[in-house]
Amino acid sequence: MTMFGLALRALLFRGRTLAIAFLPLAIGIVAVIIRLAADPVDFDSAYATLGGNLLIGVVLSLVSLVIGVNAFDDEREGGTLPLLMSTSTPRWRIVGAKLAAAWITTVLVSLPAVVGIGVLGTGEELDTGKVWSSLLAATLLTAAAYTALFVLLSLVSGRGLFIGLAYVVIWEISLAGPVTALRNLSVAAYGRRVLGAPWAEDLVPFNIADVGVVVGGVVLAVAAAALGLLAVRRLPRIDAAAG
Amino acid sequence: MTSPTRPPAVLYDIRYSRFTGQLRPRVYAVLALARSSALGALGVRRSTGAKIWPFLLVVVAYAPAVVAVGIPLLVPDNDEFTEPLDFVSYYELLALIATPLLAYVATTIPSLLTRDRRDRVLTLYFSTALSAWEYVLGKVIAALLLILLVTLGPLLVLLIGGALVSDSPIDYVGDHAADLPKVVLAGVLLALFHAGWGLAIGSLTPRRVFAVGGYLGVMLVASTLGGAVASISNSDAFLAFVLPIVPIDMTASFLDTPEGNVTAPQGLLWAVWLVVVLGAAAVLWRRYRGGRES
Repeated sequence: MTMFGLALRALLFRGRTLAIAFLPLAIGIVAVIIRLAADPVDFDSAYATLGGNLLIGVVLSLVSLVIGVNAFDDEREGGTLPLLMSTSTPRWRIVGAKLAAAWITTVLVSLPAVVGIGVLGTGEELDTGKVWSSLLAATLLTAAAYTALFVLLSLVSGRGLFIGLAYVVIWEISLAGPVTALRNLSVAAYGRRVLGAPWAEDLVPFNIADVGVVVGGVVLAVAAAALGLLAVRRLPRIDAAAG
Repeated sequence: MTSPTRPPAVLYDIRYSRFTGQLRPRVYAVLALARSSALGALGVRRSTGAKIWPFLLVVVAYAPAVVAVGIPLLVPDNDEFTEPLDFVSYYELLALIATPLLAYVATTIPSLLTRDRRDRVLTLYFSTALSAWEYVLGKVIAALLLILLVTLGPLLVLLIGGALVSDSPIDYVGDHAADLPKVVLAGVLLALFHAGWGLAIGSLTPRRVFAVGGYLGVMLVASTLGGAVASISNSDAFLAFVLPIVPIDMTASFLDTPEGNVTAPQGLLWAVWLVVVLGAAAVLWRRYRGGRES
């Protein structure tokens, strides 16, 4: 089995990962119920809240944190990291496989929420194609940037979980979201910029980074690639034997 | 060849012998477990890095109360703020610390149980003077103490600080004597709610990262969903699903609240609180009833 296959099996096909999927599933179900039962005039605010604030701001950040930190922590705690490091596999392939597996797992776990929110979004007077494409692009790019960040954090420090949690709760949720001046330093703000593509820039109903849609997407992709490269550079330097 | 400076060999008599120290009731074992668990969660007797996060959050939780107590001292002739409660009420203080409380509970409470499961030491615990129930009781006490530190503590700082900075402390104590049982009740309501949920999540997995994610995920997702559905349906009842503020809004029935403050109906809030606390108790019972690692 390839390195990627092993990494994906270790992350995705686990009971605890499936348990996490219950939250996005609940969000998806609530979104569909709102689509079916609520007054259409409320779809706009519901899509903004569930898509912009909940999916991009909370769900993707938390799922990426748990999955991303776990990618190498599982090996650390299981004592298999020294074994992995002693193989002749290039470091970039190890990190690349872990990153890709964590990214795919994050996207798949969040998928029920994405689908439900997409169904809700198509009830608005927005272009259906734009709603789905912006939602999927925002999910894929935001998950990539968050996952790369948290995988890197888990390689930089044994306390990657706490640092990542501080970043999500203090920076992303409490500071960068509400404070206009800090939005251009927030992963979620760029993700919301991509999600807000169906609206004119001044009509987007959630807080976004002060850039265009394409630039927002490029920033997320570049951030994910840069953080991934840093993780590749970091891996040979970690103390594999340390718990 | 032996060195002339080496001490002579000694044979120690290490045969089985009875314990000759003072025998204490079993409750001491429970309290010792609670104490060591609570101190461990705060990073005491661990590395400096382990202390930074919990103590940072403790400082953040106390900051509003300390500032409120300090203002009348720093600006003595201010007619608007003559006492700390003019600056921030007990209810507002609890609302202010809601976010740091979530982060604090997420990182300290589930790990009270996950660490022992991860290290597979439960069987070792249960082979000592501790039964499974006493183990759970010790962990519950530890969780309550940890959460009371950041819920009841700041409220008491506000209450006691008000008396200390008052021109007439005795009159102040007389005027606010009825506040003490109320703030204690508020602190206990919050502590039971978060301790129950945090420990229940922690009992379900040996991996801390999943317990932290599960606790925060449910709290934050329920908050946003509850708020969104309440807004769409124009029904305050759905605010009862904004879990982090459920125990805080419950205190609105006995603490002063800001004008125009909207909460879910009190009966519904108490029902949700009871479901969470009793549900958590049921999960703990299910996970530890056999007295073994499951």
